[in-house]
Amino acid sequence: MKTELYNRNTSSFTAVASAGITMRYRFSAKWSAYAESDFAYYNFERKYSTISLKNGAKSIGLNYNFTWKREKQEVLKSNQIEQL
Amino acid sequence: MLNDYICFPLFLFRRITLLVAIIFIGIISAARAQQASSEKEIQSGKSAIDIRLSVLPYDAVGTPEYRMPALDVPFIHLSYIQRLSDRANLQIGIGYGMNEAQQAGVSRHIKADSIYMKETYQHLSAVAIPFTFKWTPFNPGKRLQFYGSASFTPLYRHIKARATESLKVDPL
Repeated sequence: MKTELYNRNTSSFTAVASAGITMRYRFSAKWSAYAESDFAYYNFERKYSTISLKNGAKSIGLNYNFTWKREKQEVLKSNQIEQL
Repeated sequence: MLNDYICFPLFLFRRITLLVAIIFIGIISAARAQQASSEKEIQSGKSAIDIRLSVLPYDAVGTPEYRMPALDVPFIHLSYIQRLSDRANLQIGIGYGMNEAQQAGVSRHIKADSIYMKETYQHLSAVAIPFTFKWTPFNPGKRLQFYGSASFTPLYRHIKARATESLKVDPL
């Protein structure tokens, strides 16, 4: 005979603070890729301390740099020159 | 009772989606490696967009009551980065993470000629809004850079969890 121990649907808020290191490699002026490793995190929901020093988040990412303000200004300048 | 409890996974955790995404990012990165770089352009970049795949430990996202071994949670994040100085930047983003696992454990040592089985299932999904500060003491003009980072991540999570146990007498 099967006995149900629990069957629950729960939603809740929590927060995590973490610290770590990032190694980033730049491929070009615009693009870079990186890998991150958090060596410590703390879950704020816990009533007891669960700071981890070895089991943090691991990430990889891709980064695209842009300078939209500068480019916008340059377009305006070129339009003004054409009008002149 | 727990000492005799032999646990084994019935299903592999579903991380195929994460692996495909990692390979996809690797291909894009390799293609972009051929582009020329310029120090002036890098110094003028004030903002950046960022896509990130991460794996958070279950303890950081889940709850101890439903803890299952090795149920880490893969996340995908989209972020905006504002450069504060040559060495520091601030990042805000939004991310979604999900994982699902099912396990069963069997033991024949609870009572003579009996089989004890416990089955657990969990589906965890979460939305995260990470705030991250990064700083480097090294030359920011180098291709290879190292940063120290600190982040604070509010999370909204939904956990669907169930568990059953049964004790069957072995007819043999």
